[in-house]
Amino acid sequence: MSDKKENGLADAGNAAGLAGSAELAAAGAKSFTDALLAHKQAMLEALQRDDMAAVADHIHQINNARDETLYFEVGRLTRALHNALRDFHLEIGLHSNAEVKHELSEMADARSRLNYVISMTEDAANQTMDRVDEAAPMLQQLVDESESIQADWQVFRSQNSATTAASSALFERMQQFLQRISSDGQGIHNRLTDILMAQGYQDLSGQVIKRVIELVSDVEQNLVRLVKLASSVEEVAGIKRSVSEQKTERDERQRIQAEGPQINQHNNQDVVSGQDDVDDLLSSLGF
Amino acid sequence: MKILIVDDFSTMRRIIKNLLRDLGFTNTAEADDGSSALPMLENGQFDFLITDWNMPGMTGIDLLKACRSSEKLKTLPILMVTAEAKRDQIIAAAQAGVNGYVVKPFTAAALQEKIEKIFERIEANR
Repeated sequence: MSDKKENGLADAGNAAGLAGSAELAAAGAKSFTDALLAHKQAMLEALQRDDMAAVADHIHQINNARDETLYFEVGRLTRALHNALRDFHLEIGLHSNAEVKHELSEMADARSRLNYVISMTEDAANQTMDRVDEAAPMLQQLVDESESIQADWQVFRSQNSATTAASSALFERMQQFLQRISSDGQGIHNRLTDILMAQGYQDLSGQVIKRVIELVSDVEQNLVRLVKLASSVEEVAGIKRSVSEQKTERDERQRIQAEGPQINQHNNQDVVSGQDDVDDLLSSLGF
Repeated sequence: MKILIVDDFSTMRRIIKNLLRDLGFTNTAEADDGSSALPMLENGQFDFLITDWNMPGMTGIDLLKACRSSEKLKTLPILMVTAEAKRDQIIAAAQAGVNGYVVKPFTAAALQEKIEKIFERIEANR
């Protein structure tokens, strides 16, 4: 429990740290503006004096102030990212030490929990289909037997006319019951098929969950990459180019890349709205 | 009639297998992605392929292309049963030579209709 509390406190500290960063960043920008204003008057005077050496010195000092602010900001950002990443790892239970492991096991790796959802729904779907597979042949035997009796019943009735009104009514009820087993049997079979088809949810929801798992991995990897990038200003400038190069290359491949089920298909013109739409599209292509 | 069902989700393979059994097709085999399906197709005598698109390893669209570029499999009837529903994807599958395309979630009737249509067309072209 105490570990949890500490975590809560760490979160609060983290949030305060981030808010503090924003203030610091504003302060950094302000100190640069202040430096600029401080040099403004002196520089104007030097210009009027035609003292070019003094003007150059002022420009140099302004440049230094800007560089210092920039380097300071990058350094601060790097530390903030390192901290955020460490806390992120801690939260999903990656670097937990023995003492906090027990508490953290409750919030174990997001990916393994999502994989757990997939395997649970798979088990549930399989159990449902097991029951359907057991029920279908039972039903078929009932229907087959009923149809066999029905044939014999017809013959029996034609050879034995009912002697009383009561037995005549019983003959009729029996006949109708046997017919109903056949017709309802088909109805139950159709519903078993519907139950089977409904288990497709496991595939569709599983595909969506798998994409979220990928996203979690991507976010984590990108955070690590971001920290590495931020540790060097030169690298930041260098990587920026290659990221945009990669993007255009990816765009072409992404157009037909597998995406899994469409979650918001009604808002997307690129996506068909159902099987009828697929058929229309294919028939327009000569299918 | 021997049919190969390819999907990374065992639930979906089981659903399709059961539907096929209801339609009278009992000779089926399963694979969980394109790279395990392709050698089965190359070495076995399959008459029909039903494949998903989105699978780890080799995807359904790559399996489709691999079949069409194989001497043995270039005329194998292929039905795609997939959640991929973008127009560009359906057009790409059609251009790659798919014989039918069913989007998930689908109904038993829709699958039956597509399968029958594919075989009707094959009979007509014979």
